[in-house]
Amino acid sequence: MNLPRIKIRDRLLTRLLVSHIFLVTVPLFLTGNILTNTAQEAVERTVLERNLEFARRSTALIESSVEKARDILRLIAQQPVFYGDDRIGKELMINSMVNEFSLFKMIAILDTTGIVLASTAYETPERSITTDGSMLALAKGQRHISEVYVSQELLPLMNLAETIRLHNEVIGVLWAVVDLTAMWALVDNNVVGEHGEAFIFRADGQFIAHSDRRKVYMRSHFEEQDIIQAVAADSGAHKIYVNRDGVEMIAAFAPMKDLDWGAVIQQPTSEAFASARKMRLQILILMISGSAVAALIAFFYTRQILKPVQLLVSGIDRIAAGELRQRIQILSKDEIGRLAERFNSMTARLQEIQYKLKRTERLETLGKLSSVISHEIRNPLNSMVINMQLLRREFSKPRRDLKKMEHYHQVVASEIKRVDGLVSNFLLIAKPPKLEKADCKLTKLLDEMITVQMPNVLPKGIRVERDYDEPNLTALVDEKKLYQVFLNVFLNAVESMQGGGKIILGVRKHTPTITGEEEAPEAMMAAVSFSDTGGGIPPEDLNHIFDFYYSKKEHGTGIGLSLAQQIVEEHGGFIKVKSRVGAGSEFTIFLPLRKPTL
Amino acid sequence: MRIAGFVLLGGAQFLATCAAAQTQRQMSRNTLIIGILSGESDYRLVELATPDGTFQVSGFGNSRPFETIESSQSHILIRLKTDERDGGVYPNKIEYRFFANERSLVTAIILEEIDNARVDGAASAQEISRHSRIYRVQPLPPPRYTVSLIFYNFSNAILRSRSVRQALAYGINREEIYKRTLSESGADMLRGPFDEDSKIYAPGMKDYDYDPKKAIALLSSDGWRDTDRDNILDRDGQPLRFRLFFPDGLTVEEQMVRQIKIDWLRLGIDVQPIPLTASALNDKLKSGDFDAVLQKHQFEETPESLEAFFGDGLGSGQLKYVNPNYNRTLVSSKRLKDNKAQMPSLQRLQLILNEDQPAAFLYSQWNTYYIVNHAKFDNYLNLAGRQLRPFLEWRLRRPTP
Repeated sequence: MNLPRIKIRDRLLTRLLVSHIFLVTVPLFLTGNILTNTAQEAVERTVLERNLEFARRSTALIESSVEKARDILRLIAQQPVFYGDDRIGKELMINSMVNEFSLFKMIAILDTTGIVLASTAYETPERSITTDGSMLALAKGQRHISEVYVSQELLPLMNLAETIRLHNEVIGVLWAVVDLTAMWALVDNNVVGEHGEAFIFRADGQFIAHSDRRKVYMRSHFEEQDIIQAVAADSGAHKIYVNRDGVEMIAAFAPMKDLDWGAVIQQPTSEAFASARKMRLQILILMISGSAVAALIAFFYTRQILKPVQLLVSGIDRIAAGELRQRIQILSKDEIGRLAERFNSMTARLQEIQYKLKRTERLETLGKLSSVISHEIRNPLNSMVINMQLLRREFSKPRRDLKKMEHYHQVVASEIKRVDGLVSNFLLIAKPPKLEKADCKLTKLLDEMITVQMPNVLPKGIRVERDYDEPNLTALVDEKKLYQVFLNVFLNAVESMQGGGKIILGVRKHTPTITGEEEAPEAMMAAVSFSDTGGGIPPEDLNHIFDFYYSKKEHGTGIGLSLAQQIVEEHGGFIKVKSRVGAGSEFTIFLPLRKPTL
Repeated sequence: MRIAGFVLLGGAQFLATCAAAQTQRQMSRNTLIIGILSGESDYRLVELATPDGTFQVSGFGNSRPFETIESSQSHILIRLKTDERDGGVYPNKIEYRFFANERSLVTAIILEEIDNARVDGAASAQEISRHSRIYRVQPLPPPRYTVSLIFYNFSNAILRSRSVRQALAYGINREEIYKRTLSESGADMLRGPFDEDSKIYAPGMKDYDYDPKKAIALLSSDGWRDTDRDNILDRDGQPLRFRLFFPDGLTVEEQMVRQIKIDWLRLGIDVQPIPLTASALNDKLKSGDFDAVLQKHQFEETPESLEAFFGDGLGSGQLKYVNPNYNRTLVSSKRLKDNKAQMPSLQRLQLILNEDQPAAFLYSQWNTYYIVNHAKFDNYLNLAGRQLRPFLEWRLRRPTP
């Protein structure tokens, strides 16, 4: 029975699979998403806090180092050596300070007018230092701290000045040039990550320390105005922005209140959040692979569930095709298994009914045959009576004509023989054949038949070809009766090719297709085919060729194919015929290879 | 209109700057640019070793395998007469750029304007290494017996006194100098011109470890006292004061001089450190206008090498060093041709110099740092990797297509 294929989306397997995957993956994805978002937020917050902490710590360190310089200077200024005229003592003091504290690039002692009295500078000492008008304030006892400026050597420098007082009177000034390159080391040490940057910029944005030293040497400026303004407003925070190279950066910044500087520690977000993104990716991969595994398990599990159902469907298909000897393999003890058991019982019952039906059919056939035979026998009997009367009349004549008598006798003998034949055939049909089964190699049986028949076939211009897929296929059959079947079908083919042609004999293993299911061994059959290139059978005759005494041939008895079908069916097999008028016919005899389990 | 004019002018200036930068890059592609500290090398005496001999790059002469295109105190540019040798591509020009100090040189290196330079300070080498990826920073030992010393002018009446010179030697805190300045690169403290690994090193030389009391005692024995209570020693109304010339812009030397100044000020010696470029210092030395000089000098294990630096002991040479004992030993040493035979006399000479202190031998540095633009050049190190090849053997790396 040819049913349309079930669409994939409508298949039970697909539906079960989808529902399984849905049930597994949706919670997994939801949980994973919540997890990754939470984790990413946590990592981002940690990165931001860490960078901001770095920036604040850098700020504090730099501010404290500037404060330290001021403290040192104030302490030096209080030394008694500055009160007198001890130039050597003063030089010793300021040189020792410069030697001891690398923070000081130069220390000079000025008088109240700004004239240099002593200096640690090696160069030809200048007589005065440009104090930018700070001397007035200094004379009043105020301290001085200059803007950061960049020297000719591109060093970030700053001037600090502290008054030297004697009895509250300003008698001189200690002028120091503070070398802020120490904070370069600080920014170098505060670089976060491989592509991170740390820098300090002035109020106008110019870098005075940068982990990429070239930016200081080239007097480059920081261009993120939002951060510059935030620093100017004494605000520290973090910000994500895209720099001039198009790289998204996360910057943590902190102001240095007294110096009007800002410290920034920044790094590309791709690097800063790399761990978070990596974790997200890992969770995503985990989710996908988890779903894939779940889908795989669901697939096999569903398939396992559906296997008995598919067996059931294929069994039903085969039984619907008339193979009532088929039984469904019971693979489970569940409801489907129970259904298969019931189905097998039903099939057995059907087979029994079919057997009974066949018997009834046979009896009906016998009835029909009896009337046919009585009709057929009556004719020869009439002929025999007439010829016997003629014979007796001739015998009573004085001059007997022996030739006539001989003729009448022959006619009677011939009619007797005809009646005998009719009776024999009737017996063949009426009496079910008793099979004597034994293992038989089918190709051997065919070969024997071909050998015997070749002398009859060849003169008619018919070629016989063998096409054995399974040359050693063995079946449990009644060898003599099956020979008769093969011969009948073969001769039928020969007779259909009056002008010559080709007969192809084939032997193969027939495996009935069951959708999506592995072949059950008991379902296998031997298929012996006879293909001819004869005139073919008209479609209107195709349904009657196995009827008794149905023949369109001139000398046909209408027994051969009926008998063949009867024998094959007794073996548990069946015959299929395909034919096209003008092209030829193919008779295929299907024989069970093993006895089906009941 | 005015704004448009400004824009046009600005654009033109920008294009001109770009073109100049392009030309500069084009020019510098085949040029080896060497950074030199003007405190270390006299621009007039810079030499180039060639297969035909060693030539001063600032001079003239057709026989030289190069021609000098430009020459000034700030830079010298020479064009080599051939730039294709043994199939390799070599620079066709060499430019020597002179820098006032190590800081400026380091800045130029980090800005990648220089192909080769040498710095003594380990901190500078570390900074370059950290901030530029195109350079190879190669620590290499300086030439053997390159010695830092302070030598004195014997024409100076104060410094002619052996006691003063010995006091000056005792007054230098070498340990402190080493700790502050040289510990990272490593150095040998010296007693004489040759270190202890030399086969002619003379055992038994005085160490002149820092001993201010002994220094003051020596000065006192020579008549130096602080009679006017100004914390400067004086004798016959003359203060113990002199100038100390040293190479300008060299970080190590600057730090060292500051420590020496502090040490000597504590003794009551009013030393006036004055940094000079190498050319200015050479002029001073030639004219004899100096008192004491801190400098590096390379000695050889020969009497001639000592004579070239200290003189013959009879007042010749720039030091005007007079010491008959030294003179006799030097003469006898020079008569001997065999190095082995010279060894006892060379050792005696070292003992005399150690005792007499015409120069205070300070240290011999283990390493100096050579900076090479590794992205631009190869074949700059010899096979052993212990020495730089002559510049003419440096090959340009082929540009990556």
